[in-house]
Amino acid sequence: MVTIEHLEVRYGKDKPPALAIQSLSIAKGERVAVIGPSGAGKSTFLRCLKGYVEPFQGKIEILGCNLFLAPRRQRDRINRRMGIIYQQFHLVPGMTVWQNVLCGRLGGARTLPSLLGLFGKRDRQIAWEAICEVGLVDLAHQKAKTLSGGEQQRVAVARALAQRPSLILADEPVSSLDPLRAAEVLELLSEVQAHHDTTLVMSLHQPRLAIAYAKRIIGLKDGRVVFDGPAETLTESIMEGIYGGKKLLLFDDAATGSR
Amino acid sequence: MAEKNSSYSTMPPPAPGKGWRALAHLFILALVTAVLGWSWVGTEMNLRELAGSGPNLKLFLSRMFPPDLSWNPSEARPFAPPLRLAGETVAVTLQISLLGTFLGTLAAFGLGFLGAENLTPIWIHHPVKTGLALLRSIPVLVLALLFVAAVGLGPFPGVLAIAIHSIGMLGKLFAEQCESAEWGVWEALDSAGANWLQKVRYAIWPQVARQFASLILFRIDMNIRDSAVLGFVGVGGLGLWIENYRRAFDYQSVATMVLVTMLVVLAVEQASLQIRRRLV
Repeated sequence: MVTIEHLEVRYGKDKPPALAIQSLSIAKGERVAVIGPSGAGKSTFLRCLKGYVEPFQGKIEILGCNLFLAPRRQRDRINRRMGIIYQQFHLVPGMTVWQNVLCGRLGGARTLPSLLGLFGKRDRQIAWEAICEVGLVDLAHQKAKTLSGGEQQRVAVARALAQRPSLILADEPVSSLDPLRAAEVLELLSEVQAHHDTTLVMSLHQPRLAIAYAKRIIGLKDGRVVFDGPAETLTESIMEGIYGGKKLLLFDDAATGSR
Repeated sequence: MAEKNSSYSTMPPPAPGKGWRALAHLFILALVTAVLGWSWVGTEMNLRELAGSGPNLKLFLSRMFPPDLSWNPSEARPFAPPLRLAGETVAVTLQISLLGTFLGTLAAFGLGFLGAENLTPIWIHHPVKTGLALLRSIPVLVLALLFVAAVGLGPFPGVLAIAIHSIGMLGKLFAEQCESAEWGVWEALDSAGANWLQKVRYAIWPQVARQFASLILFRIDMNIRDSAVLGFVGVGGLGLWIENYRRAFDYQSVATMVLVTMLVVLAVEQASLQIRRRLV
């Protein structure tokens, strides 16, 4: 699904690399959380996969295609199969949930009808399924700006789902939600990932959420991978290495439950 | 954390004000004064003349008073009385500015999106912006003179002049609105594979539509004033009739036409303001 070799990303020639990854691969159907302190390169990593950040050197292959070398048509096709979810949702506030989710179908839709808000039957079918899947049928005709944060993020998930993605990228999907809403959205993402057997790569601010909702965890520090393994193997001492903190009190938290 | 910062200095930090900054302010003040003084001399400002201008002003105003409110034409006057012409004249002025604004908006709409720095590559938005600036830099009166020469006297060259000038103004303002639009939705839709038109339609348009409408209404308001002035160079409308009466030394009718102009401008300004308030 995703193969990375000798990747290096720099923001400016003289600056130290924001991301430096020797070799990393993510297989189809994996559910991966990327953790690390602020500025460790989590967002850069995700944006790099999406093709929004061009690497300084190295190679990224998504679905067997090198995004930065592929011809435009192929790149567009791959791009469409990657849904992305943002911390700030990025919905069109004045449009309804239904219209927003239909926007996920823009890539395949014919230009002229889509500009008038007209979508074919298949597009509507797929978008409606996505709305049903995230449980927003009752709110489908409400304007996005009237919804709560958790609900808006569900709309964003539905919009990404409407793309029929092979890979879902979630950049801090729950950082602006309260703990309960955060858990609900991560629950939803996990369900969606399992149900469609897609690949999910999300960056998370809270390690305990990563442990609870991801199967594999990649720990980044200063742009380098310092941990890569199953969620169960992430110990407190490794965590201290990633975050550089003293004691994170991670596993005392009752919310994780499992430990 | 605490250990690192444990040794605080007891000396307070230096005062935040900087001496050179006060000097810079003085310098700017001197510069502004110099420029204003230069303008004062250059424009032959003369307070004594202004103070002694009372009698002249009084004479001029007394010739305009009372405004001519008569209805029946008389043999002695070259033109019909102003109130009789007012309706038609106001209509022409309104038509010029409305149609001119509409045509200008039509062109500015596309150019606004193309000229937005965040929406198009530099080799598109740079020439578009330059072109818009050039259009803006030609005074409306000059445009009107040009079009009067090209297509003859009458309201038509006025429409063209207003339209061209509006393209330059509205295009720039539209582009600026697009540039201040929130970027996240654009990227989200780009991620869904939307093409440029689709992204403009769904990521930018919902954010700028109301502002566009407000700018257009404001432009109509401005164009009413502009088109009233255009009468002086032979374009139809209120200005033309003010000029006609003035040439006939019929100052009382001039007064009436000026009052009608003020009324129309104020009415349109109010209407535009009220609608804009409701929009934004």
